Amino acid sequence: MKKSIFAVIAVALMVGFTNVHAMTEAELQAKLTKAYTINGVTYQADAAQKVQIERYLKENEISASEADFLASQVDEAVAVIAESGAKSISEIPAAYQEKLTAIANKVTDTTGIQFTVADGQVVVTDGSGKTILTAGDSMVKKTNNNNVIVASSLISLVGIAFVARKFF
Amino acid sequence: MKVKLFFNYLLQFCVSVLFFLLVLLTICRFTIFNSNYMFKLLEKTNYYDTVYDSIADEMENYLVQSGFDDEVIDDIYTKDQVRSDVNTMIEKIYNNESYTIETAAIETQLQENINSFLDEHNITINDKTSINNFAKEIVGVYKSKVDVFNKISFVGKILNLGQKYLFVAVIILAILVVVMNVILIKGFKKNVLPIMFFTSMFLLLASSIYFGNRIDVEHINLYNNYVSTLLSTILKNFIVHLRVIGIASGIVGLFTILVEKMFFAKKGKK
Amino acid sequence: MFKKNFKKIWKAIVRSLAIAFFFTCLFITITYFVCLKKIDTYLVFFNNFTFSGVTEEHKIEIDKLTKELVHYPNYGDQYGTISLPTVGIKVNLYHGDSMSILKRGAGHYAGSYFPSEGGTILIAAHNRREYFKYLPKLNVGDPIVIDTDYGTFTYTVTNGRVETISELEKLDIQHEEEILVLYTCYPVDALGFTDKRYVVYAKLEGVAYES
Repeated sequence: MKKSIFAVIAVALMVGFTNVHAMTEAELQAKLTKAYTINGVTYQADAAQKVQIERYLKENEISASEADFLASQVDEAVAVIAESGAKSISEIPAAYQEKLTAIANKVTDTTGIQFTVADGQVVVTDGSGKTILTAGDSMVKKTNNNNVIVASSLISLVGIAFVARKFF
Repeated sequence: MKVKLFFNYLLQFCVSVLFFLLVLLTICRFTIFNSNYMFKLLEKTNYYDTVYDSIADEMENYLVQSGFDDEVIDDIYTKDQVRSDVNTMIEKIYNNESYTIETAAIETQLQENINSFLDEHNITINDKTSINNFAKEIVGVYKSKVDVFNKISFVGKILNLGQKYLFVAVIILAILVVVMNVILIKGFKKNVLPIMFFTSMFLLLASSIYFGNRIDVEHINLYNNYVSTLLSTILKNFIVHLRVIGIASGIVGLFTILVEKMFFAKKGKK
Repeated sequence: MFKKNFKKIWKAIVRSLAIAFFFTCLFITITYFVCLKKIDTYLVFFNNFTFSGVTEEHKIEIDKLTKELVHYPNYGDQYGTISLPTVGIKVNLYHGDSMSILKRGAGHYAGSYFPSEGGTILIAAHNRREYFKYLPKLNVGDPIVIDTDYGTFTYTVTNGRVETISELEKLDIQHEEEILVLYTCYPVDALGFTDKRYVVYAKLEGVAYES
């Protein structure tokens, strides 16, 4: 799930921009899918999420100045988690959760991205409703639906801080 | 004199805010923090029927890959059972008690149906592992569809605390409001009650506008359709309550002015 | 009586409303500095998290010059068919492999590549007669055809074997070479749910793009 969390941030931050970009697609993709070690814990998109990120970058060109914005938001989110000292997502204190939630809101307001938990998976969609990423989706469809168990632990109807912890 | 006036206005501000909080907490106490209200909402949103249908759809998804016929999942659960389990779950959540959904009857009926299927098709199975896996998943579907709130236990704590202590808080606030009003009416005598009601009206209406704008209640999508509909209905009703009681508060405020001016005017004349 | 007191009543109403409005603004200001900003952050997040937008239609599209996919279908959309000519099967092919999709046909795992992208393509279907029941009957050299809106892709079976779920989970979603991987539950006649899968590996043999 740690991988999923960062992939969700990565995808969230790159959505919704158009125009020619100065940063190459390969560079941006590398930044979004590389491993981040924060407080001794490594966060990285898994192979499936890398494919989905790559697919989204292919379908949507990323703007130049906004690529800087994206990069800065990634760095900000990483810095917040690092500053919190948390070694797992659930350990992030309330004050830092609030900062991460504010970053998420900023990204959403700018990019139009939405994400929700539905049918046992975390689904990230762009402003037009198209699915970008599905987190918590196991590769081999098993007879016991582990997706539900993993993703259902993320559900929070009240106290969104719980959700923010799990995602960021 | 000016100090007394300032103190009176300060006290009036406090009593107005307290009254607003009293009204808000009362609304919460009799809606969100009330299990009976929740049961009414479940009926209103056809929650039970939707859960029942959703269970059937999901079980069918598993059936398709199992090699069994539809009859295997026939009558293993009923609408009444769904209703009873959902209600029990809600009740336990509000009481912050742990609970387990009883599925023994479902397992028994399912096994009977499977055995009937095997007999009907003259199938002998030596290793029942895969069949047991199937049965486990079918029972799991029922559990997961009924018990959608099992991963958010802190909601139970909040609801339980709210149910217990909000009533006490409401009583305390009501006493405070009455006492402060008596002090103010004796010392201030000018439109104390109307100001309190009008402030409450403005704050309640402002709250309803704020929540109505901040949350897109028409497009809520969380976990599945019946949870989304329930959540959407809870929020919509809450906003409507704020609006209606806000307007009622304003009307009561107007009424108190009329009574004050006409009753006291009449008394003055006498 | 009412007419006589009307002016007094009116004055009292206006005065009360004015003071009430002032109190309201004061309360909102105090609340804003104390906690409203925090509440607002979480409310906005909740809204973003639970918002269900309307999905626009997206059609799969290929660049005519480079032959690269430029637009992908929505999750859950059918984008082609998959045929196993040796056993006479043709199944609808969907993007995504949720339970509801697999009920309708073959599901393409969203975390794998599309035909023509030169990577691993992972497709699942139930072991029903009309879907992948006859997958174990495929031999090395047998053809598999994926027919999409943007082209027809022919693959040749290179391997077929039984794997456990955990073994299949280790499948490398690579981008070096176009490999098609099909799987279904095994044994195909088993009743209930097994932890084994029959997996067929195939390599790309030929492409015919739509004109």
